[in-house]
Amino acid sequence: MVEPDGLSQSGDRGDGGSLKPPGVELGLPAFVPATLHRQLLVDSVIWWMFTFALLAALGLSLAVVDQQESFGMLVCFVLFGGAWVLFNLTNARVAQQLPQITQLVECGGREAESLIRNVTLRRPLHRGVRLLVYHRMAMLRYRQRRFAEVVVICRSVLSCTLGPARQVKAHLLILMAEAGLECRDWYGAWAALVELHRCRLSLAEALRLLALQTRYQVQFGDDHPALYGIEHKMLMADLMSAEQCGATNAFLSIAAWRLDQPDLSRRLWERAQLLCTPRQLEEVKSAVMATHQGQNISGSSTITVSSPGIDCPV
Amino acid sequence: MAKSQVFQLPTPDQVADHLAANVPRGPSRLVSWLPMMAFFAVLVISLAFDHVIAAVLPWMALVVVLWFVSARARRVRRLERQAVEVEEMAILRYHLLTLERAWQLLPSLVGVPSVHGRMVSCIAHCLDQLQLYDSAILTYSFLIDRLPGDHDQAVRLSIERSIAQLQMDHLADADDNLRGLRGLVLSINNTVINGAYQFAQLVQHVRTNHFEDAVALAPVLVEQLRPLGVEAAYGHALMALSCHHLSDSPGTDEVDVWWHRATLLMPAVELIHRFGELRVLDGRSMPPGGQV
Repeated sequence: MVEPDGLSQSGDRGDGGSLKPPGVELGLPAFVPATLHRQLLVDSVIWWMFTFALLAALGLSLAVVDQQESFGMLVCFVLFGGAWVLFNLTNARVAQQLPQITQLVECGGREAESLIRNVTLRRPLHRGVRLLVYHRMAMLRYRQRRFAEVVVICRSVLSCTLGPARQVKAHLLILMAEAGLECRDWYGAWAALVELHRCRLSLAEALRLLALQTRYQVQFGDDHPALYGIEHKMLMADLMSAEQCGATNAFLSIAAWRLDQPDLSRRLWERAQLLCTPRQLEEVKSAVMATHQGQNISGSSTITVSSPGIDCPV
Repeated sequence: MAKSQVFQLPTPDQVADHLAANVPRGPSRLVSWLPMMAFFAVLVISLAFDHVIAAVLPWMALVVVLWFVSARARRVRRLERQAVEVEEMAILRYHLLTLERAWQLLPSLVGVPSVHGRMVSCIAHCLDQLQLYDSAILTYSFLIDRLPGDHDQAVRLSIERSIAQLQMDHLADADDNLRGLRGLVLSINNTVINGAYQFAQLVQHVRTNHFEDAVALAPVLVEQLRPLGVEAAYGHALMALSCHHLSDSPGTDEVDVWWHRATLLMPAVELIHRFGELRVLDGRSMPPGGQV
C-alpha cells in the first residue's frame, strides 16, 4: 500500500515508483490528497453560495413584484444570473481544454504539466470537471512512469463521489492496477482488478483488463486460471495493440511452460517474438522473475526457473 | 436505404451519393445563439411591462434555455456513444453489421464533424475489408480531401487507399500516391504508419511481379511490420509468396519460414481470403526444428 505520507520519503528512490527524480524541477507539484479534498470543499462552498444567492434573488423578486422595488430586484437577479453564467463559462472553458490536455499528455511534455497546474488552480470548478483534470494528471504521471504517484491520485479520486466523472472510473482503475503492478503495490492492483470486474467496460477497457489480469495471474504463479479459455484469450489478444498483444502472449507462454505444455508455450512465444521487440520481451521476463525473487507470494510450488530447449523466457 | 429494408451492399454510386448528401457542417451559429437571444428578448419584455407574468417570464425563459442546452448536449453524447458502439463492432470484425450501422448513423452526424469523420472512416474500413475496393477508394478520398495533407491520419488513409488501388490493379494511381507519401512517411515518427507504408510497398512489388524488390525488404520486414500487430501476417505471407516465385525449388526453407510466421499470427484461410494468390502456399508447414 502506498500512503500519502510516504510520498516525500520515497522521493529519491530512483526506481520506477519514485515520485520526484533528483535534480529534476517539475512544473506540476507532486500530488497531495489533502489538496484535492480542500479544493473540492472550496468549490462546493462557492457553488452553494451562488445557488442560494440566486434563489434568494428569485424569492425576493417574486415577493416584491407589485411594489416599487421590483425593478431593483430584477437588476439584482440579472447580476446574480450573470455571475452564475460566468461561473459556468469557467467550467465550460476548462472542460473544453480537457481534450487538449489529453493530447499533450500523449506527448508527455512539460506543456501538459503547466496546463494542468493552471487548470487545477482555477476555482470554482464543478466537482466532475476537477476530478476529470486529476484523471488527466494521473495519465500524465503514468506516462512519466511515476507509478507510486499514479496509485495515490487514482485512489484519492476514486474515494470521492465521482458524479459526471464516473465515465473515467474504469480508466482510473486500469491505471491504478497497471501502476500497482509496476510499483509492486500488489494489494492495490488486486483491488483495482476486482473492482474492474464490477464495472461496465468498453471493448478497449475489457481488452486492457484481460492483459492486466493475465499479467497479474502469471506473475503470481496462478497458471491454471491464466490458461483457462486460452483460445478465446488469444482471439481477444489479437484485437489489442501489437505490444500489448505480444506481452499477453509472452505471459501466457510462461504459464504454459510452467504447466508442462511445451507445444503451446512454443507457439505463444513465437507469436510474442513477432509482436514484441526483444527489449519488451526482456521486460516481461524480468517482471515475472522480479515477482518471485526472494519470495513466493502465492505460496505455489510450481514456479521453476529453468532453461527450456526453445528460445523461451524462463 | 430505409431502415426497415434488408441492408444491401452499396454500389460506388450509392456511396458517392450518400457521402455527398451528408457532408459535415459545423454547428449552426443561429441555433447556438438562439437560446441567448430568446432569453434577452424575454428579459426586455419583462422590463417593459409591469405585471406579475412579466416578473415570472425571465425565470421561465431561463428554464427553457437550460433545458434546450442540456437536451442538445445529451443528443451529442448519445451520438458519440452510438459511434463508439459502431467502432467496437468494427474492431470485432463484424464488417457488414458495422457498415450498416455506420451508414444509417451518418445523416444524424452532419452537425458533429469530429464524430462524422470517425464514422466515414469506419465505412471506408468496412468497404475495404468487404473487398468493395472501388467504394472504399471513394470513401478514403472523401476523408483525405478534408484533412491537412501532412496529418498523420491523412497519411494513414492515403496508404490504405493505395493498397485498395493495388487490389483493383490501379497500379499507376497507387504508384503516384506511394511516391508522394515517401517523404511524409519518413518525416512522421510513427511506427504504425511506417509499417503500413512498408506493407503497401510490398503489395506493390507483388502486384507488379517485382519479386526481387519484395525479397530485398526481407531483412528488416519483421521489425518494420511489428507495429501492425496480427495484421503483419499479410506482409509475412506476401514475402513467402515472393520467395516462392523466386526460388528454383518451391520447397525452400525461406518460403516455409515466412509462411509459418504468417500463419502463426492469422489462419491461412483469412490470408487467402484477402490475397487470393496465396492459395499456392496453403498446406505448407514449418520444417522441424525451424525458428521464427
